[in-house]
Formats: sequence, structure tokens, C-alpha cells
Amino acid sequence: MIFNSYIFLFVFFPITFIVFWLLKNRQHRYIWLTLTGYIFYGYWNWKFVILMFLTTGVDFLAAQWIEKHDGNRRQMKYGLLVSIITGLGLLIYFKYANFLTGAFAGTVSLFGLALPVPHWNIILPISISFYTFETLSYTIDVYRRKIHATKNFFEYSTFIAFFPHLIAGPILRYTDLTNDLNNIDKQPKSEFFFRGLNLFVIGLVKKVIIADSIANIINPMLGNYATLTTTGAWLAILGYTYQLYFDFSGYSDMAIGLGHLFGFNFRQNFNSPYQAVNISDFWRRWHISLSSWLKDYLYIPLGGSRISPSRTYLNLFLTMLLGGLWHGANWTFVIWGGYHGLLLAIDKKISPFLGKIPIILQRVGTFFMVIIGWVFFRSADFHMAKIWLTKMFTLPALDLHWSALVAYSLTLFILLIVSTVIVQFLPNTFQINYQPKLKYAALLAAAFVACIIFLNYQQSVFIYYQF
Amino acid sequence: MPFKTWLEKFNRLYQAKEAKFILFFLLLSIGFSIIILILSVLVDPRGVFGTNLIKPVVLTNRTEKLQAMTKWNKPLDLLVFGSSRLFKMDPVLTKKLSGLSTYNASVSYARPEEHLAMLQYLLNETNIKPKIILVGLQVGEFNNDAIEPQTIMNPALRQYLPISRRAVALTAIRTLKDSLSPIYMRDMFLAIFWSVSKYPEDRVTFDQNGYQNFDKNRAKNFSRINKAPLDLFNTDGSLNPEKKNYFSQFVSLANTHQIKIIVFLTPMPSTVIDELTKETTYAAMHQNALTFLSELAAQNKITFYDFSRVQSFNGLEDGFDDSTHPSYQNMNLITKKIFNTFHLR
Repeated sequence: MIFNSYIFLFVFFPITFIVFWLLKNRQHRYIWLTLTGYIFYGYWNWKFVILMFLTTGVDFLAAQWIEKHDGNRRQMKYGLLVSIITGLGLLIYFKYANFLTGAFAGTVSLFGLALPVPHWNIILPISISFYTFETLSYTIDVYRRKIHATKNFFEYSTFIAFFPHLIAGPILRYTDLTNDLNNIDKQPKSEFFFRGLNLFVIGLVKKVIIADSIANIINPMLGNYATLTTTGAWLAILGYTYQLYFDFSGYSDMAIGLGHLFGFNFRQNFNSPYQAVNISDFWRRWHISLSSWLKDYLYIPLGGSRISPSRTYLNLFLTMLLGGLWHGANWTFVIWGGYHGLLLAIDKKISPFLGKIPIILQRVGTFFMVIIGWVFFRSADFHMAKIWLTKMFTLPALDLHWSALVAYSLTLFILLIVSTVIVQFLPNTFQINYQPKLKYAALLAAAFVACIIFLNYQQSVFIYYQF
Repeated sequence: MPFKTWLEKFNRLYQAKEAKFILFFLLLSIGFSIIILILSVLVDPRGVFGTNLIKPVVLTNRTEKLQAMTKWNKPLDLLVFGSSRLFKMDPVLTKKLSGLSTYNASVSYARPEEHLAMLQYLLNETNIKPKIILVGLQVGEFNNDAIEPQTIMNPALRQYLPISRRAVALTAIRTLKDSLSPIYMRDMFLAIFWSVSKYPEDRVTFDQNGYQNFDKNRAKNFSRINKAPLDLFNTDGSLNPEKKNYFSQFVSLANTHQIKIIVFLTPMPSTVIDELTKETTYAAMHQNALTFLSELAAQNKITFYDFSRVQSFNGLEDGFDDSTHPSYQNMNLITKKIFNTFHLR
């Protein structure tokens, strides 16, 4: 089920919301949110509900085991290992089995050997990457004694299965929700609903009206990428740069808004990433929940920046390489991750000198580096990325005349201008000072109805659903 | 919880500005939606609801042509039935070759049930008693699509359609829901704008005899085949039994009233046929259509021509306005081919 669908807006959400606030008992609310989370997830494929339940159950019990054997490092490690092996094992099997066997066979072939490579018909369960990271963070934090393991299964399963963040984040930590979970039986407050409603509708506008409109234009262009002109190649990557941002940040806004409607405060996931002044700054602003997870559970345990500079650079590179792989079982994601890892390492080395460059140039330069990376992120394979980049950098063929820019689509050109203004000059959704004035209610209602109209034309999934 | 307690809770909650905001938002969202739906019906840019307050952007032709035929006060001996692919069958040429006064009654998205309903309407509600009905069919008409909403929403034809009141109501609701789309909003805006300013010259209109007005010098659009023709072939290769039945009933009704039926399969460019053959069940459906129509011809109920390929009527490979619609040149050649060999008994 997706947020931008009639079934969610007019059936699932109203029922879930109304029943939740009618229930007064804390445990009843945990159970209701768990149940509705499983229904939300199972709407896509009910069979994989079992998988999510299995992961949830194993980590709940593993955390209990770890806490029970506090002081006994060996037993604690057993508990942690069970959690990690289960979570990562399932993730690797469902997401990377074919990729890894193909990579292994490819490596072996370099030595002149030909291995018969099996190809399994494995369906990738949606959101497995997201909830696996969440369950792992829970058991690791219990192991590190940052939090206490909860003895209430439904409290824990609410943390995992609560539908707003279930499918595509933000990737939450148990510490993010402890306070809200403990106070889940609170009374409704109109401030929750007010802010939640604003965030949700603005997120919907970002996704349905901006992101999907751009996608409708650039997808056919990229479907025939070999025929793109230089101008077209640049328009396509700029379009994708904004499509990805509005799609994902729109989803995050909707998830955070929905959380508010149930009295939950989720962490922000985006903070004007295209205003970043360097690549490190970019990763403090883009998909914040993922980058902070990678930092806390991968980069720092590898040593972070507390070791030699060369090891620090390697850690950065490896962390981002795995971060790229997290997005999908494709070499283009690995290249994208490695590319960012390399940029981060270089940035760490030369950052003392970058401060001398005017801010505007730093922002432009960072933006340029980021969009080059998106070429790999969007490309189906290395061949497409190569062709696309080649076309982009056939500079003598770049035609910046007005007629060439609008030849592909005047609508795309207008959308790019509007998108640039929004990402460069307007505040983030969470920074807006929402006023409960009736004229703004009218504006919000008009925006909501406009989204309903656009939804009737298309109901496309979020880009990050595929991860 | 007693209602009074609920009311007190609601009043307390409502005191907050945020609560007022939310309530206002909900009411306005519903209000805006209702206004748009009402406008959709009143403006009716596609002529689906039949309000006729503003000229439609996309002519469905049904209302216009049925009204024209209802008001016809001269004998009409020959009618042309079919979809938009027959818009350029010239009644003047047909009359010249056959000696029969002709009206082109083809309408967009015409299907077998439409031919039946239209004939019943004409026989029951007008003075028109044609001697011949020339029907241009395309194989995709016998697919599994539901009855076209434009036909269901036309009050003149609806009464003759084999459809329940429940189905009509559901179609109306679905059509209303489909009107909440950006393309429909654009059409509404265009309909209002054009009605106030001026209609574009290339807008599809019809002469008094039902023939489409068009610019013979207009550039053709042979870009990659549109998706719509591909979507027509949604069966496993067989013809939909209900559609076959509607067409058989149409032929029987015509025979009962001594009306001759001439049927031909409309042509498409070879490249399009090749792509349809590759991508869809077109080949199987075409073969089944040939079998079905040949059987009807063998029973002397109809005269049948397969003009699917341009070579069958010495047509032009580029005699098309787009990937599926024959140009006036090919339609003229088809007309000549039919009336060079046809004799009215």
C-alpha cells in the first residue's frame, strides 16, 4: 500500500486513525498499531508478513537474552550474533543472492574458469533493508547498554511495524521513539493533528505533483537514453536530481506527518541537501537517518576518524561502498557508493583549504558532484551510465539556446526552474512556521484536492520502495 | 460514551485554533471536490454527460450526429456506421457512385453494441429507413472492453443498450470519478476558454452529412504507434462472444427491415499490423473475425470485404493520418472498390 493511493487515503488511514484514538489503553494501542502495520505491509504481499514477524521476534528475544546476561560478554555476544546473522542473513539472501553468485562467477571467469551460475527466482520483500537496519540498531544499542530491552513484545513490534515509517523510513532508532511509545496512551491534541496534516499534505504535493510530473517526462527520455542529445542528457539528470529529492523528501514528510497524527515525533530525514557546501555537509543533509545509521553502526565501529588518516579514508570509502550496496544489488549502486566514499575521503583531506572558496562556488561544485553520482544511481547498468555521461560531456554539442531547452518539454523546463527555487531558497517543510489561519486552511485544502486529481492520473510508488 | 459527553469533548477540542483549522480544511476539501465534480458535469468537455451547456473539446459526435439524423427531413438511403476510422468516408462520393443519399453516422469508439443501439434508435425514433448500411469494423472492436461509457451516458442510445440500471449508475459514478484528472481539468479549461475566445481551426467538426471537416494539407503523425491500438487486443485471440452476439443481432435486425449490410475491415499501415502481430493477439483475432464475418456472408446476411491490408483495395501505404486512421485518399479508394462491385438488388 502506498500513501499516495485512494485505498490508503480514504480507507486504511481513516479507520486506523479513528480506532487508535478511540482506544484508551496503552497495550490496546500497541496491538492496534502492530496489526495495522502488518495489514499495511501485507497489502503488497501477505506472505512476507511472516518474514517481518520472524525478524521482529528473533530480535525481541535476542535483546532480552543480551540484557538477561548483562555482564557475561560471551552470552551477550551470542545474542547479538543471532540477531545480526538472522537479520543480515535474510537481507543478503533476499536482496543479494543472485548478485553475489553472479559477482563470484564473474571473478572466477577472470581466471579463465567458467562456473555455471544458478539464478534463483527470489522476490525482494519491500522495506526489508529498512526494518532490518532498525531491528539491528535495537539489539546493538541494547548490547552497548544505551537502552534497556523492552519486555513488551507489542511495544517493540509497534516500533518496527508502525506503518508511517515501515516501508521507506526514516530509519528510526528505538531511542527515537521511547518517549512516544511510553506515552502512547496520551490524549489527542489538536497541535499534533495540525502539524501532521500540514506535513502530510505538503509531502503529498512534493511527491504527486512535482516528483511524478518530472518522472513522466524524463522516464521516456531515459528509456531511449542512446538518442539523447547533450542538452537532453543534462535536462534528464537535472530532472532526476529533483525528482529523487521531491519523491523521497515528500515521502519522508508524509511519514513524519502521519507519525504526528498518532502523537509520534520522528527524526527529520532531509535538510536542504542541495544547499550543501561540501560532500560531508551533503551527507549531513541527505537521507539523514541512513547516513547517521551508517556512521554509528559501521563507520565508528571500524574506527571512524580516531585512527590514522589513511585508515579513516578507507573507513569512509568502505562505509559508503556498503551504503551504496544497501540501495540495491547492482554494480551501479556500488559505484555510486564508492564514488561518494572517495569524495568524502578527498573532502576530509582538503577541507581546510575549501573554506577559502566563496560559498556560492562551494554549493555549485557540491551540487555538480552530487548530480554526477546520480547518473550511476539512476542507470540500469554501467553501459547506460557510460553513454549518459558521455553525452553529458560532449560539450561542443551542448546547446543552451532557449529553443533547445524547451524542445524536450516546456513543462520540464518550468518544473526545473520551480524545483531550483524551492530547493535553493525556500525553507524545509519542518522549518515552516505553520499558522492555524483559515486562509492557509483553504490553500492546504486546494493543494490536497489538486493532489487527489493528480492521483487519478497516476499512482506511482515511491523510488525508495525498491530499496 | 454518552452523546453529551462527546459533544462536550468536541467543543473543548474545537476551542483550539488548530482544531478549527483542521475542520475548515476537511470541509473545504469536500467542498472543492464537490464544486469540481459539478463543474465537470456542467462544462462536460468530452460530451459524456450530455449537458451541452458548452461545446465539448472532444466531440463524441453521438449527440451531434443523432440530432442531425433525427432532424433529417429528406430520404436517407445509405448510412455509414463505424468508429472514428470512418470519419473520412465521403457521403458525396458514395452518393455519386451508388446514387443513394448518404449520411456518415460514424462515431468515435463505436462498437458492435453501438451499431445495434443506433440502428434500433433510428428505426424506432426517426423516419430514417436506409436501404444500405455500410459498416467499417476494426478487429479490436470484438475485444473484452466494457461498453463504452460515452455510449452508456448518451440518453438516446442507452435505452437500447443491453445494460442494467445498476451498470448505468456504476458507469456514471466511474465517469464522474475519472473526471477528477489533470487531463480532464485541462479539457474543461480549454472548453471554457474556446467558448469565450475562438475555437482552433484544427478542431474536429463535421459537415451536415456527417463527413469530417479537415485540412488536406495538414501534416501527418506517423510517430511510433500509440499505445491505444495495442491495448485493444486484450483477448486470448478469440472474439468476445457478447460482442459477436451484438453484431449478429444488428445484422438480424437489419435483415428484418430489408436493410442491406456491407461490412469491411478497416485498413492499417503494414508497419502497424506487423507490430500488432508481434506484440498482441491481433493475428488470431483477425483470423477469427474473418471466420465470423465470412460465415455471416455465406448465409447471405451481409456482404463482406477484408480491407485490412492496403493492397486489397489498391490503397496507399501512406494513405493514413496517423498509425490507425485512414486518410480521405484511402477511404475514397475503399468507397470506389465497394461500389464498383456492389449491386443493390
